[in-house]
Amino acid sequence: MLRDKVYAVLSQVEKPARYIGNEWNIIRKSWDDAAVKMVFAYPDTYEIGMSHLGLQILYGLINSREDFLMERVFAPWVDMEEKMRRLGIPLFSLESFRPVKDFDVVGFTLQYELNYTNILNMLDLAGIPIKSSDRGDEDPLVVAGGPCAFNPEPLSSFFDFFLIGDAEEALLEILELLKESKLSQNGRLDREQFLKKVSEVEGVYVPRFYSFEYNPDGTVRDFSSEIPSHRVIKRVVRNFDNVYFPTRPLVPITEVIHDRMMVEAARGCVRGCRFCQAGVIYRPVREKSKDNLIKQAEELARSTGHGEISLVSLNTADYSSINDLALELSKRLENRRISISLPSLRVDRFSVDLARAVQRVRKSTLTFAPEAGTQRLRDVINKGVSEEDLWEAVSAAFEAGWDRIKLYFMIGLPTETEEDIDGIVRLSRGVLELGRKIRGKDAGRVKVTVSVSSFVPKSHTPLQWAAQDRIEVLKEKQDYLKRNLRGKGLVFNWHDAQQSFLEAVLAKGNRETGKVIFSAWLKGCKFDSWAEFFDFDKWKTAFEEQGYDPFSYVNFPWKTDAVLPWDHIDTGVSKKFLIREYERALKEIPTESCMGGRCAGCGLCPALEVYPEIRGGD
Amino acid sequence: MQAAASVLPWRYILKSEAVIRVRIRFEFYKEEAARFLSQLDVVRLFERAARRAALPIVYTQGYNPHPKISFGPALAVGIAGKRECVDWEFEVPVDVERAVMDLDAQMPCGMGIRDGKEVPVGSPSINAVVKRGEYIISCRLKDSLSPEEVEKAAAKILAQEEIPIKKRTKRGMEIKNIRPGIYTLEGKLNGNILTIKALLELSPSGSVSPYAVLVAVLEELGDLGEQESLNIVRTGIFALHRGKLLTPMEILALE
Repeated sequence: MLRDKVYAVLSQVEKPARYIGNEWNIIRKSWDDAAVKMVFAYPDTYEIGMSHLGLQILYGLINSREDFLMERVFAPWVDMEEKMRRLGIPLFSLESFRPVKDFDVVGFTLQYELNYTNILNMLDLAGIPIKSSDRGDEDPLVVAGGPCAFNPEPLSSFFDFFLIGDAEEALLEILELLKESKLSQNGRLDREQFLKKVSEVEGVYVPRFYSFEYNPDGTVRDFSSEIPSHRVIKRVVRNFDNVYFPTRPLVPITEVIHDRMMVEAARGCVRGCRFCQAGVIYRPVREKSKDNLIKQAEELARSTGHGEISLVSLNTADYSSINDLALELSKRLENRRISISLPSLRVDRFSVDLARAVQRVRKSTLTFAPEAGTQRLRDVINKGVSEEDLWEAVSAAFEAGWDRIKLYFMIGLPTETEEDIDGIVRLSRGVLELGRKIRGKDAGRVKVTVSVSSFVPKSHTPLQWAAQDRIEVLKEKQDYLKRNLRGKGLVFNWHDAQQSFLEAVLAKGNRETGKVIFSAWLKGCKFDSWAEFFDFDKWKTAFEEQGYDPFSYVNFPWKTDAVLPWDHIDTGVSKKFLIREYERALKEIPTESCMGGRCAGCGLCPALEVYPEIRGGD
Repeated sequence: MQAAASVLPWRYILKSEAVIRVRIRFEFYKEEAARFLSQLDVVRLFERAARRAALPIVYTQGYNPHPKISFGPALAVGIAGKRECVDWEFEVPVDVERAVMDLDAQMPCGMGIRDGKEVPVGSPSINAVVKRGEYIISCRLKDSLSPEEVEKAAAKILAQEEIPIKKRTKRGMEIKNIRPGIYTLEGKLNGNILTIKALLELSPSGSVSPYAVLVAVLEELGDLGEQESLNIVRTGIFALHRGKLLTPMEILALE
């Protein structure tokens, strides 16, 4: 049995608990009774994948259906991979220890571009042909969803189809269709015929029915499709308060990145930060009602035993009755020693008061994201935060007893000058000084961590046309910050510039990029998001071999009238709006958020016939 | 003198309340898939199990409250345990039998609670009393040997005065003599499966690793063994009482 073969090697690998399943609330269904079997594949380690709320939602949802079954698989760490390859252990699922190849559907979630090579590696370990065109009727359908699916082109030759947008309804429709197709053909599947049929499901994109033409410089000239409606419109779950939510989620068996229970307070965000892809693809904002969230939280507390609950959304502090919700929750959960965490704070006093009300015991670190060092640049990116907000927020935090503050900034944003970089230094040092002054005798304990990422232009955002700074320029800026953010009480973190560059190339990539990914994987690239495995030289060779110039692809701005590789994917937000926002960005003009009934005119609500759902007050 | 109580700082008053707190010792097993859990995983798992079972466990004060729980000697990742022990503090006296059942119902596959007993005030911790661990180590041999050869190898090891083992410590590689820490050793061969039963030193100062014992036996046999077939079970942990081996649960019965 596969399980025994796996157990036999587990004593010889790091963190063997990654490969045993066996979690509290695990669902083990009868294999033979399920008409459709799907495995959820996360292209990174157990610790990262098990922190992902989407996995918990789909796992609970699909398994709640009598005729469907969903199991899980994560990317095995390199030591485990070595053992598996040596002993001929195929990639297996954690529930039944079955080969991933035995499932009807292998569904990957695309959360991060630097996971792409892991997908190829996992398919290879599973013994599934890596390219969609090489798969036969007996192979599983290999599909993907998640934020990176909004530009599916770099992965279009590896996946049979993509699901764009919210999966809760669409995935059930797809599996239902698969069940019917299998039944009508005595359990066998005519792949081509099924792909034709599934392409009619709203939100499904089947790349093989599309063809692209390219300009000599590698940009897209045009595309065409064999199916009548060639635009793929994202799926949006309406009536979000009633959407399925798992209240008996898997409790990780070993420590994971976010080791806590989660309720999803809202999906979508009313703010329109111009660099933010999540802000576009999850529109419109949909809140759950307070009563529902409290009910779910209490069920979670009983079913998981976690000591911490997180109110998840893109911007929890914007939830319309966040104060009431947080206070009510902490009142009900306090005597069970359950603390509440707010993953995303706004930069204002309100948020600090909220954190203070909620986090009565733990005074760990408070994080704020001013994103840019000057008001001018914050206006460019439409981050509606003023310097005054920041001073107020951090004073409130220090006064309330916090010693450690974390600040998030981005470098390489369009129009950035030296003054903006200096602004990061000025603000960070200012926060440190303010903290020391306020904390008085505890001044020595004040610590300011400055985390600086590099701007990565993402599809479907107003800044998708903007250039990314060259690697050398980003490194110079990082060096400058390193020199100026030294000293007691300051910690400076930055992202590797080469990784950010690769992220941009993959995020904005087209079908040609897929050939590079394949070639990089053949050269041994995997776990590219892990510093110890990222090998930029291999990637550079892969680009050269494919005759692909990634530098001219992302280090220069794109023309707004160019055909984009993701023009066939429709988020509901109009391209006209994105162009207007891009132009306003360059002119440093902010745009109001769609809060309190105002409308910035992104076009989503009329196009998709949806409305923001503000339920917090219910 | 009697008036003094009223001027005690609040902290002392709380402490006097703590007298009603109780310590319960649980005996549990950790086998099958659960043997791959680390000690830290087990601590977390117990904490969550107690929350789900709504047991009134005591938390530490301060920054990052965690349950007052103290385990016996940790099992290395991969080694199964048949009778392991843990002490827990509870806010209020609880029905021990009920607590055992409730906690057992919250254990994942491969783990379970066998027994529970209240620990008298002032009793030493599990780690303070445990001195021995009993192990069954099995492993497939590469060559075919006879059962007599295996029995002889075990006897030969016991007859030696020194069994030097290389050990990695903070100061670098050191040579350690494990012989004094091997109290009993039996070797059996069934087909080509080697099974070793050993009673070994288990204490903060000089635990003998079952791996080291296996290596010594394999060296004596001149066989490499098949790493993939290795299976180690700790069948018990024991205190010494008047020359007799008692489990941490049995020790409680004495008091």
